[in-house]
Amino acid sequence: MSNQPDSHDVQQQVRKQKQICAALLVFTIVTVGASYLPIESAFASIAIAMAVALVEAFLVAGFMMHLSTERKIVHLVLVLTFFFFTAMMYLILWANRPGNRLHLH
Amino acid sequence: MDIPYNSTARPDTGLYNAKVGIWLFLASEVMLFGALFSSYILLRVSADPGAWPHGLLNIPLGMLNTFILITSSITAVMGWASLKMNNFAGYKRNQGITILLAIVFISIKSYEYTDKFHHYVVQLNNGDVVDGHLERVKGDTNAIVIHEGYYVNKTDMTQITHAWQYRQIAREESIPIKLTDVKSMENFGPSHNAFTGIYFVITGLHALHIIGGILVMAYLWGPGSIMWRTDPERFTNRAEIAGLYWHFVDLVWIFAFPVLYLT
Repeated sequence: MSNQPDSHDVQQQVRKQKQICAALLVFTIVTVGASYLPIESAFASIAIAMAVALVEAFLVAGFMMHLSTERKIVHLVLVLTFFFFTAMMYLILWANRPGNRLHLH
Repeated sequence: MDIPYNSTARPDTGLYNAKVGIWLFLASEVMLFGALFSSYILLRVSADPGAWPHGLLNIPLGMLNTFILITSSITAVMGWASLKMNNFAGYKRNQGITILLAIVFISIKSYEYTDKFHHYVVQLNNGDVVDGHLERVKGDTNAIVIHEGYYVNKTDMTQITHAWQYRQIAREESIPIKLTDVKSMENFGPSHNAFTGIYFVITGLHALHIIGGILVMAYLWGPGSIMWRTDPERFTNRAEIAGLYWHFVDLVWIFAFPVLYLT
């Protein structure tokens, strides 16, 4: 949904978005199929699910939400969000590190 | 007094007001859902191997809901595209389909919730455990029936150390129980364990977002659509903003489905 596209652009965009929609449906089937693989490790199964989800997220955010052609200020807002989210995650991991636990016995 | 840059882009940012607003809102939403997903992943990865409840959710229903939401995203785009091409009837049709798909999503979700609230673990006085869907017996206040459940006797119970081992026990069609034999029983609601707790928080919050989206889209589809006659550009912008929000709701589900249902 970019700024002021003409009618031809809009029709092209809709065509592209339909292709993305089809790709998303295929990726969903791939994710479900991957969940039936005999993977013992929880970390590995989450990593696979997240990897496919990230590809889907890239398609939705980049093309359906038109982030790839969006203005700089929007990118700046999202870069700041990513920075604060990473900082928050780091704080959680830092607070949970084994050295923070005192074992008296 | 007219508020500037409602329909036209502000020269310095290149964006109209609502677009700046929705992206700031979505940024805060990323933090909110990001924190919840991180909590889930930290809990899941730190659980003892095999101990995390697995297979509690209905994968085909979750997959169907994913298809519904992805399809609704494309109909939202087609609604906005119709407005861009001055096709108001096309907008009405596509936006109407989007709203209907959203209602179907919520209906399936509420069916899944109901299923979880009827799924019980019953501890009996003799130490045996019954796990399945509870139903009261009409005309008998002292009896319940567990449908499609597992009866685990006291001896077998000591062998079960992980949730998945329940699945190795034969499932029974119906297990009648006298209430006087029941020591305690608990459904698979939010307080059952860490998994159900975070499952209900994430999907409940997501469902609230869906309901919010339905309200906004229904307003634009119904009474709000009067603006198309007076200020079509501003109305098209509103449809675009609602579409951006709807894509974000889709995006959250794209993460929620594999993380909660499949891992």
